[in-house]
Amino acid sequence: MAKRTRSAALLPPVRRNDRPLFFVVAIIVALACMSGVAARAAWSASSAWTSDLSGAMTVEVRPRAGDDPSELARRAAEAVARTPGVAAATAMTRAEQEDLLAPWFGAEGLPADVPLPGVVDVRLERLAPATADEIAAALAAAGLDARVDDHGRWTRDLKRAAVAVRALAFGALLMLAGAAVAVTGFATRASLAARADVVEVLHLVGARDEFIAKAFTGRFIGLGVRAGILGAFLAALAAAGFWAVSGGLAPVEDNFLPRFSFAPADVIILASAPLVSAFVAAMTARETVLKELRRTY
Amino acid sequence: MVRLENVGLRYGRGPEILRDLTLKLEPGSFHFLTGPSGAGKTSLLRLLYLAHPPTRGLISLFGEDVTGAARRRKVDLRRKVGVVFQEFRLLDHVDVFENVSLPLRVAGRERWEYEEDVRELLTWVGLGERSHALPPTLSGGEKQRVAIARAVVGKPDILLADEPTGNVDPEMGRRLMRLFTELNRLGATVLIATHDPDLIRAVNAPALRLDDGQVTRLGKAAR
Ligand SMILES: Nc1ncnc2c1ncn2[C@@H]1O[C@H](COP(=O)(O)OP(=O)(O)OP(=O)(O)O)[C@@H](O)[C@H]1O
Ligand SMILES: [Mg+2]
Repeated sequence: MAKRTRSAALLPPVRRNDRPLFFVVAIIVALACMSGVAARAAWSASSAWTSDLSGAMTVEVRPRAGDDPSELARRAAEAVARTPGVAAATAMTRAEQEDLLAPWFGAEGLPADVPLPGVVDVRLERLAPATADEIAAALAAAGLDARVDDHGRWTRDLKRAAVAVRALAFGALLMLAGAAVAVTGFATRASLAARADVVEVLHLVGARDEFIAKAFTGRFIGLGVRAGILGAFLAALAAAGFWAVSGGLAPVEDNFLPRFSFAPADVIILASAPLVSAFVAAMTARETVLKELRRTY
Repeated sequence: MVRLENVGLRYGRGPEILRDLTLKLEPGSFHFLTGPSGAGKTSLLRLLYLAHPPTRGLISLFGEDVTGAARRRKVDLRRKVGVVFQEFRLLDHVDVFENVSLPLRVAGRERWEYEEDVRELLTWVGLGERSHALPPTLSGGEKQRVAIARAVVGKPDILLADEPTGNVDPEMGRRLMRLFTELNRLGATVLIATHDPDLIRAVNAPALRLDDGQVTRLGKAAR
């Protein structure tokens, strides 16, 4: 004979009916985890980019007729390097510039007679960086006609894009939470209807609404935890797949796009998924049952 | 103890099952409720165990108006009323012991507090050996005894029973009636709906006749 628990469950198990809910919640959790991880990745990528970009400036010296751009760049680099707040200033050679332009002009490089401006790559001090105006003043003092690009347009765009991605992810999380609440509420009402006779007996022998709700909540906590674990696992698989496809453990090259990688925050997102889904499922079930019961006499 | 004043009841847009019904049951009294099938006996009991509100009129239990009572208060009142349902209403997925102890369990009592009392009661109704059986495996009479045991286990102040002895042999019927008379002796108000004249004779208690939406008192002598 089967071992008896001290107090048998007051609701008959109807596993067959709970299964679709289990999979739907698992899928919702997987999507929520994926958008969480994607938002996290976009955010760290954008901060990596912006800190790269905001720690550097580019100076472009316009050559006047007859000037040698490389010579102008060398003089500009000297002038900028003396400015306080600049860590290093390097004049780019024509060869280096041609390297950078290669993706647009092909391997043969530029025709020799195409003029290129003198370009200086400026690295700023971390703690007290020079401003674009200070560098421009130093260049003007050296008698150079130069334009300073502080990459501000790029960093602003990137920051805006990162904020947009985060807002999107947050919106997706809200919608997914709404879907989870709706589907759990629906399933709870179905579950309540399937056990209406039992619920009525409990009600008539003097059970409080909270007592009846608890019988349902317990079941939905278990379902939420199990579906949350499966969902987080699916999301982790998807993220690992994405990571492998986007380069995985291949040797790091100097790519324009930083590679997707796992972060400690991802572990927190994935690990909290079962807890959050159990909480959402249990609370929804509880509120739904209480609301339905209040409609009875 | 139990009072109804000008109570009317209709289901949906159907005819009035109970009409202008006024009735008072004294504390500690014992009554039978008779009347033709479909007269509304079950409906009247349902009003008294707060399964359904009356369409109009006033119902009070223990001197307290129940129709306007708060939800939580209704639960407190239900816990003082033991009910034997006409169709038993046992939980099919838990055993006899769990079914009988249900009112105690939902009231928050611990198993160790009531386990012995429940076993004793089960023995009294002849189900001592069947305490682990599930209701679907019981005979009609056995189910009825489980339903009765569940109704009396909490020593309610009001006991309502709907055809409680329809499925048992006369000897078991008398034995079960002893549960009700004993409870009544301890002070409970008892109202039993039945068609069985033998049962009424055996207890020798006054009967109320429900017919055409109204009650008439038959008294002990008039049958
Ligand atoms: N839930 C319901 N909805 C609609 N009509 C109902 C409902 N319950 C009972 N009735 C009707 O109310 C009337 C009284 O029914 P009730 O069950 O109270 O009679 P009764 O006196 O208990 O009969 P019996 O002796 O056969 O048990 C019947 O005509 C029945 O059809
Ligand atoms: Mg009836």
